[in-house]
Amino acid sequence: MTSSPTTSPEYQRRLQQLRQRFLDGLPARILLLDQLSIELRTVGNDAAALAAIKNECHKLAGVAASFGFPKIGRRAAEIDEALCDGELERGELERSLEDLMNLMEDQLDGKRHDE
Amino acid sequence: MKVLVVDDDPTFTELMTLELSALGLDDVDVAFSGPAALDRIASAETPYDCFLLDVEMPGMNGVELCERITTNPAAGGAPVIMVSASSALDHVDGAFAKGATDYLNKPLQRRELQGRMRMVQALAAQKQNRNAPSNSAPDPLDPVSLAEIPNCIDYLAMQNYVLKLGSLRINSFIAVGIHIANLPEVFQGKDHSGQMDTLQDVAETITESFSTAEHLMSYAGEGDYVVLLPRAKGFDAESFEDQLDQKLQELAEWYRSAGEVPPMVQVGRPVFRNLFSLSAPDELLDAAIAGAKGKSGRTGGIGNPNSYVLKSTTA
Repeated sequence: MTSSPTTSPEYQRRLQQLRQRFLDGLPARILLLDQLSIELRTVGNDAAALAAIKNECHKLAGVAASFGFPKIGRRAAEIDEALCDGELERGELERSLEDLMNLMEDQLDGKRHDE
Repeated sequence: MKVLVVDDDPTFTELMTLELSALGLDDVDVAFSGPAALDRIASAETPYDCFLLDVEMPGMNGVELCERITTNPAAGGAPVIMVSASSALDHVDGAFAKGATDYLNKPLQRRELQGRMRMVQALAAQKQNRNAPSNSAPDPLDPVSLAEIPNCIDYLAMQNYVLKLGSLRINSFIAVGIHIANLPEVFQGKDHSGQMDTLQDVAETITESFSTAEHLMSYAGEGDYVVLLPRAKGFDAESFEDQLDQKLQELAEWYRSAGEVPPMVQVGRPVFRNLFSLSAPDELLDAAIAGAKGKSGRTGGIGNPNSYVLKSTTA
């Protein structure tokens, strides 16, 4: 395999672009999770909200660590796995989501837990 | 090498495309759903050499898509690698049964991706070599694919599956080896297609002899088959042997009536690992095969390897 070095300027530039796009998309992800969290508390349709939360956490778990944000990825993966196993109680889920959103907000605010 | 990446998350597909490009693989297409992937495959001018499928996708999930791809002649039997976050690892088990070759963890690790793509490239080279006009069809003494038989997966996929299970989960499985003892005589005078027919006949007879659908089988080459079963479900070896014996008897009659030598089959005792096993998970497969061949095959922590010849096939 003729692998071009991953330290090449072009690779680094594209990776940085993707990473920035991921960061730019964080506010939308936070808003979505917040909205779903509210739905979970107020609306009766738990199944749809839970499925949407699981889907979003699953996606975050898949990409966050790859872009250098392992804490966000780990927290999202924990929620995804717990929802998969049916292990999370409502209060616990809300707290976990809050924690995940805080990690994402801190990242945007420059507190940078992950770096 | 042409690759199709299927994932409903555009951020992930972009990252995967970038990482593949860093490995020198620039001919990469992307689809965001199962149906879109099938459309791409159907309309592709040149076939894909590899598919990277996300396991968890809304609508058609990765396992269903895997089955649609591996049974689709337009996909050309290209390797399918499932891409999975740890929460969906259990689904990967199902994907192996549907013909997946290997799996890859999310988040993406460059070294892991590189290893998988090297394997894919080696498979593609082998395939190209076989398809070259000067070369003959795959040698039935090699671990050829018998994918037409239910639950029969490629041996490479079986090895990858066992490695994926890891040192702990593999302890929940037993492996049974089955060996065609008179392969040279059975193959004598048969062309390639006839030899492949025999391997398929035996595979079909084995799979039909299991009362449970929960098994995976593979042809490891040189007349060796290995079957993997969940230990918790219990394995009634006697009932399996009776069934297999009866079906082989019918097969032998058919072969004799056609003037052909019937396959003589040896079955190994079920082998399994325990918590204290120090051997690598895939050594279970080697032990099962060695057991069926009647070799000592004893590996640390793996029990009971020995074999016997089914009475129907000794006459």
